[in-house]
Amino acid sequence: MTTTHTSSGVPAPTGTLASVVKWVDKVVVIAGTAVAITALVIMFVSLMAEVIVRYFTNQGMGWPTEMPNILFPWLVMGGIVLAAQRGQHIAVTAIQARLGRMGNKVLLIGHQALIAATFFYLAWVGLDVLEITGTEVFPVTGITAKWAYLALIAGFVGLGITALTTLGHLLPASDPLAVRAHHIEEDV
Amino acid sequence: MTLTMLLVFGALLVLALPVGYALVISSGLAAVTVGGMPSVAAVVKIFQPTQSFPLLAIPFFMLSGSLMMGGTLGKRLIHFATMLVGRFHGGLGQVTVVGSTVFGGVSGSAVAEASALGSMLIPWQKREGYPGAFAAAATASSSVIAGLIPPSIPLILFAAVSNQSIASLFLAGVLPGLLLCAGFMLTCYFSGRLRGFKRLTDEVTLKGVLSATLSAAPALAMPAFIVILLRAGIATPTEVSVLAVFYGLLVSMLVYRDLTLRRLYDALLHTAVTTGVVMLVIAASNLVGYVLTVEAVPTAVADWTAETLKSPWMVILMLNFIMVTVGMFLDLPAAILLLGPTFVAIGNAIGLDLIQLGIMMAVNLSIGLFTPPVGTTLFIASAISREKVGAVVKELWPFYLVAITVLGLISFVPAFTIY
Repeated sequence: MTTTHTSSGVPAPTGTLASVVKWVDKVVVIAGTAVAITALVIMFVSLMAEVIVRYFTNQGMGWPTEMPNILFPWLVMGGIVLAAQRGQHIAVTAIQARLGRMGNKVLLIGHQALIAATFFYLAWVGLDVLEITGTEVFPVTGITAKWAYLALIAGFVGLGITALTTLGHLLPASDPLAVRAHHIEEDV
Repeated sequence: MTLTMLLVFGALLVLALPVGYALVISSGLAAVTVGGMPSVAAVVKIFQPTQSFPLLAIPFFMLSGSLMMGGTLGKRLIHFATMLVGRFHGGLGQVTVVGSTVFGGVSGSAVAEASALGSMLIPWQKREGYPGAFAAAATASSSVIAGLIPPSIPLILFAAVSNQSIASLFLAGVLPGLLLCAGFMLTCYFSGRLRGFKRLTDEVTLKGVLSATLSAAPALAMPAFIVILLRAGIATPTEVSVLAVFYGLLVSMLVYRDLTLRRLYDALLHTAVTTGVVMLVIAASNLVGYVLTVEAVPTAVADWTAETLKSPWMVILMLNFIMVTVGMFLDLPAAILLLGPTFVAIGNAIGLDLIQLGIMMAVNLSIGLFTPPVGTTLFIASAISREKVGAVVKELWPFYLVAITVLGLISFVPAFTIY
């Protein structure tokens, strides 16, 4: 099994388009990392505080239990986008061994087109979800559920953009399999 | 609707589209175009798992594992295992097995374990004259024990699918995990004895063993700490996972004194990415579950199975066969989430305890992690050892026999899982 990140093995494309693609990838990675890590740290601190307070007073504070409802979607969507940027989403890639470079290039371009179309469409549908859920409010914090659903839209847009930048890497690549190629043994 | 979903999913999988995307596209297409489900409802279905409090245990257990595994703990555990079993026949292989079992109580993930332990133990075994393929086989097979020792991520997923207690599943996984450990150790022992593998000759003293045990104690205590908190009802699984992170931070800062800001950042980032990988599959599987439930597929399959196969023994045999086969192709979380709803219905139909089914599922699908054509721990160990997958598979045969024997025991003798 191989999984698909921008690898140092790919010859760096040059030109304005390449610079834009690189810049966009950087923005997506920084945003995804900031969102996911912030969500994780806030959830940890608030849930830990809830456990400690409940242990000593036999009564919870309440608001920390709503934090996951708002922040878990942000951690999940940030993580999904980061995994896409690093090519870590798991795939069964047996067919790639049977295809030549051109075949793999066509296959991977097809993937990215499909992923971009799917997730931009889902983000657009998500706007309707935001409208419908606008009236839902978390009872203790009084925060609207829109903030949780917004994570979904942001994540879908992040995935769509990542698919487009992957296309930007794929088109000039001489070895398409090296684009966002994740080598699992390097995770050590 | 189900047929459309399965056909599209199968086609996209063969075309190497990542599993999570393939699930979103196939189930969404089937639900919206064939089933007439509004697109908005499909998006809400994808969103729902992110509101599950029990599933929040997954990132926190991953974070506690990353915090503890990223430091000097690995070396301490290997030293501990070497002190215990290094001097016996096949000792270095046995160190791998014992190390994996103890590490499993921290990491909860077979893949993380194969990477972390394999990178330390495979080169060491090769330097000591062990065949690279054997070293890889010992790592690939023993790392899957992590899927059974608490805090096991696959068992949390099964709990979510089957509405079973995470605490009961964690407790039920311990004995099968230890059985696999004992079986793999015996395999290494006999391989070492028959093939004359080098034994370590370093002098082992009681003081040395005690010192190594003390050094590894924080990791050894982790699974016990988790099970006790859960069984005593002191905290929910998610709260226990948060406490495990706190414990990991304390141990890294105060006991091992190896926590740096860089390592903390790496652990947080690794947790975020791995959560993304697992949760994409979980979120998409919620939509798949909707498609299957609307057409009552799990109930229909369960009724058909019970009527056709009659004997529960035959049904259990068939379940095992399907799970091992699916596990050869699909990754563990996806397989649990896809097969779970149908298998739970079948289990209920034949009176199979769902805790036992959960452990059967974890063992079956774990075997898939070290079998070709798609075996994650097999590929990792093979890559680290620089041995061909085929050569590693040849060395894996006795390990497969052990795993199948343990699978048989937990499938047909409930006492191994229900206590």
